[in-house]
Amino acid sequence: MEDTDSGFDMIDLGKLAAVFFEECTEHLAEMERLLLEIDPSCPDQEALHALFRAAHSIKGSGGIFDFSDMTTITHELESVLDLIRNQQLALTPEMVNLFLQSTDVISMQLAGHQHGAAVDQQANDSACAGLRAIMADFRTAPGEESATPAVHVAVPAAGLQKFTIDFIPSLDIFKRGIRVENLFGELASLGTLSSFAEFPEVPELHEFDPELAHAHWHLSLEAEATEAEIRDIFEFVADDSDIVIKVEEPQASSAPPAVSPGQSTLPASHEPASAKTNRETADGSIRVGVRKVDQIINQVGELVITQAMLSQIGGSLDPVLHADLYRGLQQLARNTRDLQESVMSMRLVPINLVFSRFPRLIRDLAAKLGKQVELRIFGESTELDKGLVEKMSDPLTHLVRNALDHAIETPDVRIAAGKPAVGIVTLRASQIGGKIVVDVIDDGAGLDRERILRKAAERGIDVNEGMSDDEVWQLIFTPGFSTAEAVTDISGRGVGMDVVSRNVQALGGKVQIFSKSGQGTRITLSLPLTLAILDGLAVAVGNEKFIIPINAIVESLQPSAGDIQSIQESGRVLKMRGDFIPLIPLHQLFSIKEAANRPEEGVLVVVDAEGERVALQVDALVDEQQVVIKSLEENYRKVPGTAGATIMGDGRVALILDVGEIACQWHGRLKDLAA
Amino acid sequence: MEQAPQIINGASAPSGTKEYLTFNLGGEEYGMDILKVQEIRGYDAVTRIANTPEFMKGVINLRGVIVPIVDMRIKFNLGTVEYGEFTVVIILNILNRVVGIVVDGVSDVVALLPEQIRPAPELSSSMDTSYIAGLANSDERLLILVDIEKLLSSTDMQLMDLAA
Amino acid sequence: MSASIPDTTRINLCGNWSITGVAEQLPYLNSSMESFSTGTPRQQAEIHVEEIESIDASGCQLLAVFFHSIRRNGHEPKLLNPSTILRENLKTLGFAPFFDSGGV
Repeated sequence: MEDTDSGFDMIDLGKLAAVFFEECTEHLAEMERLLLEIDPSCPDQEALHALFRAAHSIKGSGGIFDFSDMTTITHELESVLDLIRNQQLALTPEMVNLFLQSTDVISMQLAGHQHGAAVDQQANDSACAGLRAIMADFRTAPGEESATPAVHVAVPAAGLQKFTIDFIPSLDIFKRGIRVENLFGELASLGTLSSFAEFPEVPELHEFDPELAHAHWHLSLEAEATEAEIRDIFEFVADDSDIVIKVEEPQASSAPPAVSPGQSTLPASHEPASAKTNRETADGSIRVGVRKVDQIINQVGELVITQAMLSQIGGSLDPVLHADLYRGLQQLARNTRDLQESVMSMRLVPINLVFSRFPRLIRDLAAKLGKQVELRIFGESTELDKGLVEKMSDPLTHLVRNALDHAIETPDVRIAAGKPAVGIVTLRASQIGGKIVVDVIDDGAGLDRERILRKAAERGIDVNEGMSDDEVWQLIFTPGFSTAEAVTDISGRGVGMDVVSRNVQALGGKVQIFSKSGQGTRITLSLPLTLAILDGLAVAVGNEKFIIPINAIVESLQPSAGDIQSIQESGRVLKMRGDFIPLIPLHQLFSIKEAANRPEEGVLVVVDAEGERVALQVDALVDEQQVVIKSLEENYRKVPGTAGATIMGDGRVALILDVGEIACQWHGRLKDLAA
Repeated sequence: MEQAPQIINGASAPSGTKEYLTFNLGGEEYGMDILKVQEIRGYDAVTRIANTPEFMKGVINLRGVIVPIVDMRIKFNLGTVEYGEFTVVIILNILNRVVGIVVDGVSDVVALLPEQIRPAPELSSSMDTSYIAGLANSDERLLILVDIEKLLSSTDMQLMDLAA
Repeated sequence: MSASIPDTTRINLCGNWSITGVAEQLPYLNSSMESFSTGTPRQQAEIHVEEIESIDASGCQLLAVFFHSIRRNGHEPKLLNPSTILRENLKTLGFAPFFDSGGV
C-alpha cells in the first residue's frame, strides 16, 4: 500500500479549504462581536458558550489542515474560555483585550494560510504567553482566591444514573473534523461506557464511502453525571445529528443544587430568558456565489421587461374576446412580481454588515488618540443591496475616522467646553422615499467655517464671507482640500472627503453636511435603495413619460382651480387640508412644451421629498408598474432630478424621478427668478 | 420600428493596415477607427433629457442598455437636420462606454497603411483640428481621419463625468 | 495441517487510517477482496494491522465494514496485532463485535 502524506485529492482539498476559510472568518467575526459586547462584571452565559464553541470549531477544522500555528493559540484560548464559561475563572477586562488580540492573531494566521500574507510572530507569541500565564495562574492559585475546580455550576449531585444514548450522526461528521472517538472517550471518563455500533444497512465495500459516517451508535453509560453534562459533550454535533438520551432509574432529584465552596466569590453569570438569537435559525442556509445570484437577478429583470411588454400588447386586445389570454397575462404578472420580490430579497443584507466593524475601529482608534468615544448605532437592520453595502464600507470608514480624528475633542478640551468627557459618534441608517439614508453624527467641535474659508482662499478658490454655511461646507469636497493641521497616519491626508463624495456619487447617491460650531457635525449619505427594481407610477408630461417611485408618493389628486394659489416668490401652491404645498410643474422644470399648463387641467402627485411635501404637476397618470432600474451613468452621466432610467413596455426609455432633487431644483429656480 | 442593426466585425485586413469606417458629415468625408464601432442603426425612439445641449438628443434603449445619442450635425452647426428612415446612428464603444452619434451617412470600410496618412494642416473643417488624427487619400477621396474617442470624451461634448 | 483447514490469505493494512487517509485505503481493500472471493471455499484471512500508523473513528468504521464484507463473502477474517490504541478505539466506538474473537 503506497504511503501518501495526505489522503486528500488536490481538488477536494481546495474546496474544503475554501469552506474552511469562510467559516473561520465567520467564527472570528462572531468572536470579536461577542467580545466587544460582553460585560466582564456580569458576563452573559450564552455568549461565553458561543465564544468557546467558536474557538473550538476553529481549532478542530484547523487541525484537519494541520495549521498548527492556529491550533496552538486556539487551544490556549479555548482552554481559558472553557474555565470562564464553567465559572472556574473570572473574566476581566484585561482578558477581553487579550482575547481580542488573540483573535487578531488567528485572523493573521488565517490570512497567512489563505493568501500567504505575513504573520507577526511577536504578536502571536505575546498572545500565547498571555493565555498560558492565565492558565498557569489558575492552576497554582490557592483555593479561596479563585474558584475551586468544580465541574459545573448548579450541578445536582444526583448519584449514579444509567443513561442510554442513541446517537445517529450526520453523514459528514468525520469530514467536519469531529473526533467521535474522543467524544466517546469523554463520555467514558464520566463513568462506565458500553457502546455498540451498527450499520442500519451494512454497505458493500465497493460502494462504501469511508469518509461518511454510516454507523449508528447505541451507548450505555453509568455515571454520576447529569443529562446536561452528557448533552454538553455532544454540543458540537447536536445540531445535525440525532441524539436521544434516556435516563433509567433516576435518583431522587429534588435536592437543591449544591454549590461548591468558593464559587460564591465569583460574580453570578446570567442566562437571559430568551436565547440570543445569533445562531442560525432552524431552517439552515446554503452558500451561493454572488455571481449566481446576480445572474438570476438579471434574468428576472429581463423577464419583468418581457412580461411588461406582453401585458401592454394584451392590454390593447378586447378583454372579452380574449378572456383567457387576459387571465393568463394577469397570472403571469402576479407570478413575475412574486418571483422578483423573492429574488431581490436574496441580495438584500442588513447594513449591520458594514456597521459591525465600527465598534472595534472606534475602540482601538479612540485609545490611540487618547479620546473617549461612545458609538451609538441605529437602524442597523436596515436592508440594502449587498453590492451597495460593500461599496459603502470605505466612505463610511473614512467618515468615522475623520470624526474621531478631527471632530471629537480630547476629554480635557471637552470638559473645558462644558461637554461630557465622552464624545458620541452616532451611525444611523434608515429608508426614506426609495433611498437609503445613512447619517454619521458626532458631537464634536463642528466644522470650522473660518478655517475652511481661509484654506479655500489660499488655494485660489473664489470665496467670500457672505457665503452660506452650506456653500462653505461644500468646499471641503474640493479635491486635495484638507484643513487638517498635520497629516496624521490615522485618517491619512484628510483629502478623503472628495473621494467619499465621488464614491457616493458613483453609486448614484449624494453627501450632505450639516455642522454647528462647538456642537457637532452630521454627514448624511443618501443612496438609491436597490440597484435593480422599483415600484413606480408612470406619469405623462406632454409626450414624455416619467416614473415616480411609489414609496415617495403620498397621494394624487385632480385639483380644482380653487385649490391652487399663486404666491409671489413661491410660485403656485396647493391648498390641502390646511397646508400649503409647493406645486412643481414638471413641464416647466423639464422644458416640455406640449404639456398642460394649468394644474387643474392635469393631475397633482403629492410626494415626500426628503421630509418636505411637494406636489408634482403632471398631465396624467398612466399606470403603476414595477420597473427595472437601468443606469444612466453607465454610458452617460448622472442627470439631475433623476434616479436612473427604465425601459417601458414599448421599448422606450423613461426617466425615474428623484423627488428630493426635483424639489431642490425647483427651490433653486425660484430663488434665481426672485434674484 | 428599428431597422436591423448591422454589427461590424473586425474583418481581416491586409497586414500593416488599419481599418477605418468612413462617414459623411456636412459634405465632408471622415474616417474613424473601425475597432471603436459597435454597430450602425437607424434613428428611433430617443428619449429627451431636459436641460442638455441641443446636440444631445437624449438616450435610447439598446437591447436593455441605456445609450446616449449625440447629433454631430448639430454639434458642428452643419445646417438644418432632419430625422427619417435614412438617418444613420453609429454606435461606438469608447472608454468602456457605449455612445451613439448621428451622422449624415455611412460609406464603407477602408484599409489604410500608415504611409497613406499625412498630418493635417490647419484646414478649415467644421471639426476642431485637435481631434483630427490625419488626412488620407483613398480612391481619390480625401478622408479626414478623426480621433473619435478624444472627440467624444472631450468636456464640451458633456457626455461623461470625468472626475472618476 | 489437514485438507479441512481452509487456506489462509494474509493481508497487510498500513498507513493513514484517519479521515485524511481512509479514502485512499479503499482501493486496496477492494482489490484484496477480489483476491479471495473467487470461488474458493472458506478461507481464513489474516488481517495484519500492526503497520497502521494512525486511525480514528472513520478508520475503525472502514475496518468494521471490511471485516463484514469478508464475512459476507463466506470467509473468516482475523484481526492480528492491533496496537493498544486501535484496540481501545474499537472498543470505545463499539465496533468490537465486528472483530469478534480477533483479539480485541
